[in-house]
Amino acid sequence: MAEPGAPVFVRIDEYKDVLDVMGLIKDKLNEARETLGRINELKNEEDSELELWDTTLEEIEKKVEAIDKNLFEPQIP
Amino acid sequence: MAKEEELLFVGVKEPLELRRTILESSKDVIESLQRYEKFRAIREETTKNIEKLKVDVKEISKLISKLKSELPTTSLRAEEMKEEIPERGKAVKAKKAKKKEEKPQQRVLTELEKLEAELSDIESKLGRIK
Repeated sequence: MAEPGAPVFVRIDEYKDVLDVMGLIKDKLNEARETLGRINELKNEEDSELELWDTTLEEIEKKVEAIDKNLFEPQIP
Repeated sequence: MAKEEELLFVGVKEPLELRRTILESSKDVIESLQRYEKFRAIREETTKNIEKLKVDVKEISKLISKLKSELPTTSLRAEEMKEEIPERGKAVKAKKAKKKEEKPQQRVLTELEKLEAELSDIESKLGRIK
């Protein structure tokens, strides 16, 4: 039975497979990191779009208020 | 009756200004609708990217499992495991028996529950290493 702390050896051909798998993991992690970065970019774009939307709605509200005021304060000849 | 048919007119103050305001409001509304389309496109792209991220993470998980299988299996922790397995086995059996009594039909685990189970399994393994 192996003792705790005893060295572990990996067969050379299997070691190559392990390195290949490690390479694939690294590639996938990079890919995931890039995707997450894009998601963050999109989130920022969404936020700025929402802010712009808010500003436009405020503008519309002001204009509708002005129209309302104009129509309900008719000109007295 | 004749009085009711009479047409009444209301004067509008600054009609040109009013017309301009109405047109500008329409312009703003259309811009808002355009913004909605843009927002929807962004959301769609976000959804696609989230889905891609999910796939990537699943692939990473599979690769890690593969890596684990590629590494040699040792009996380094055999003694510790031997001590724990019978107790755990008993506990699991007892739990299973209880569950069978309580729920005759076995429930299908959701994705989240499976992940939770996997996580607790990994945590227990980590606990044994420490």
